[in-house]
Amino acid sequence: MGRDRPLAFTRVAPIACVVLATAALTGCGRLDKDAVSTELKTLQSATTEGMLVSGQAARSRAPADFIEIRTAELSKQAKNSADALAETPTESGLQEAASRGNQIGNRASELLDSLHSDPGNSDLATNVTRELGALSGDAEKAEASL
Amino acid sequence: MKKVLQIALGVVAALGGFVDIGELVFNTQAGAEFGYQLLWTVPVGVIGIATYAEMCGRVATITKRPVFDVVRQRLGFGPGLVTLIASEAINILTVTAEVGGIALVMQFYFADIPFRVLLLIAAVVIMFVVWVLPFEGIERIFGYGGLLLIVYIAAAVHLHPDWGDVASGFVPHWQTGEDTLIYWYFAVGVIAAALVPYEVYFYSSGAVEEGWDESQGDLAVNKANALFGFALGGVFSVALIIVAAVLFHPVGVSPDFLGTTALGAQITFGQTGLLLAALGMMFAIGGAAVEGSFAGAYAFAQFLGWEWGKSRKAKHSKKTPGFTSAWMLLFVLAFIIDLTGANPVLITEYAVVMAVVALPLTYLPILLIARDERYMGERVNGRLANTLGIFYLGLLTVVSVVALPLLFATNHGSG
Repeated sequence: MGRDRPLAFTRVAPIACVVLATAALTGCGRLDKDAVSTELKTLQSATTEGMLVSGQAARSRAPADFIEIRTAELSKQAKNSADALAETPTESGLQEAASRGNQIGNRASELLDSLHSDPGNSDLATNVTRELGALSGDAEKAEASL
Repeated sequence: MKKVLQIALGVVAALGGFVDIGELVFNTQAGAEFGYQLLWTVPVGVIGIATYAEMCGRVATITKRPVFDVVRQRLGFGPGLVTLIASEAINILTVTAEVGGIALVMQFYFADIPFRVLLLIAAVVIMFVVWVLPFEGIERIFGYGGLLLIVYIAAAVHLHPDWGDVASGFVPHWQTGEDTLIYWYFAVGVIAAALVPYEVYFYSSGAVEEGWDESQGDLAVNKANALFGFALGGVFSVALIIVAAVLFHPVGVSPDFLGTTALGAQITFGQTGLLLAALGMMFAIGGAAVEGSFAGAYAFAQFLGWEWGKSRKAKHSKKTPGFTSAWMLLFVLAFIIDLTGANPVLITEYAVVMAVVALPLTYLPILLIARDERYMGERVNGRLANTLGIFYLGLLTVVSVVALPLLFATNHGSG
C-alpha cells in the first residue's frame, strides 16, 4: 500500500498538470467573443424592450401594475448581464466592450428600477425612454465592435 | 341542425384550446428573432396535429378506446411503461409551466401581490373549476375564453405587415449562416409546440367521455373538429409571429418573458388590447393546464386499468378516485415545482423540446391501429391519412433526435 500511493501520485500529477495548463491556455473560465456578444445582445434587447415599455408608460397607455412588473423583469435581465460581464474575466481584446456593457447594464437597471418605483410618473417615463434608447444604441455599437 | 351546432362548438373549443404557453412563447420568439421566416413551420405543425388528432378521434369512436389504452395494447407492457413514464414527466413539466404562466399573467394586474401567492391562487382556482364543472363545461369555458386571443389576429392586421413578405414566409427554406442552429431550434420548437402529446391524449379521451358513436355521425364531427379547429388555431400562431415580426424583430428585442407577448397587444391597442390578451392568455393557458393534468390522469388510469372520466359532475369523482387523485396530484406537484422559483418560460421551452423526444412513441401505435383493419374495419386509414401519418412519423423521429442537441447547443435559443 505504501508503495502504491507515490506511484499513483506520479501518474496522476502530470495528467492534472496537463489539464490545468490546457484549461489556462485555452482561456477556460473566461468569456470568449461569443459569450460577450450574447450578453451585449441581451442588453440591447432589454434596453430596447424597456424603451418600448416606458414609452407606453409615458403616454399612460398601460396599467401601472403592468409597467411595474415589466420594468422589474427587464431590470433584472439587464443587471444579470452587467454582472456577468463584470464578474467573469474576458479573453484579450474584449475587455473594453465588456466594461462598456457592464456600464450600460447597470445604468439600464437603475433607470428601470426608478420607473418600477413610480410607474405612474409620465415625465420620468419620458426621460427613461429617451435614455434607454441611447443605451440600446450603445449596446448595439459595443456588440458591433467585437 | 344539432349536428352543425355540435361541430361549430367543437371547432371553437379546439381552436381556443390549441394555443397554450408553448405557442405563446415559441411563436413570439420565432417572430422576434427571424421575422416572417419561420411562418412555414406553423402549417407543418398544424397539419401534423390535425392528422393525428383525426386518427385518435376515429380510433376512439370505432374501438371505444382512447390513445393510452391503444399504446399499451399495441406496444406491450414494457414499452408502454416507458411511454407512460416519459409522458408523465412531460405532463408534469407542462402543467408546471402552465400554472406558472397563469401566475405570470395575473402579475400584469396584481404586481404587488407576491408571486407565490398568485401561484397558489392560480392552482386553487383551476382545481376548483375542474372539480365543479363537467367535462363539456371545462372544455368550452376554457376554449371560448381562449378565443379572446383573437386580439392578436386583429393586431396582426392592424399593424399592416408587408403581406408579400408574410406570404414568402410560408415557403420553407434552409437557413444558413451564424444563426443556423437557432433558426432550427425555433423551427423545431414551433412544430413541437403544435404537436405536444397531451393534446391527443386529451382529445381521444374526450371522444370516449362524450360517447362519440359512428352511427350518430360523430366521425364527421371528429373530422371537422380536427381539420378546422386546429387549422384556425394555426391562424392564432401565425398572428403571434406576425405581431412579433412587426414590433420586435426590427428593433432587436429577443423575448424571454410572457410579458413581451402581452406587450405586442398592448402597444397595438393600448389598455383594451392588454386586457383582452391577458384574459385570453389566462383561459388558453388555464385550459392547457387542465388538458395537461387530465392527459396525465387519463394515461395513469388507462395504463393501470382504473375507472376514469369527468363526464358527470363532481359527485362522479367518487367513482373514479384514482383518476381524480392523479389530476390533483399533478397540480400539486406542479405547484411545488413552481414554488422553488423555477422560471415558467424556461420550463415551457424544456417541456416542449422534451415532448418531442416522446412524440414517436405516442404517435406510432396510433398510426398502427388506425391502419389496422382488424380494429378499424372499413374505417381504416385511407391513402391520404396513411401518407401523412407515415411522413409525420418520419419527421417526428428526425426531430426527436435533433431536439435535445439543439436545445443545449443554442442555450435554449439564446445563442
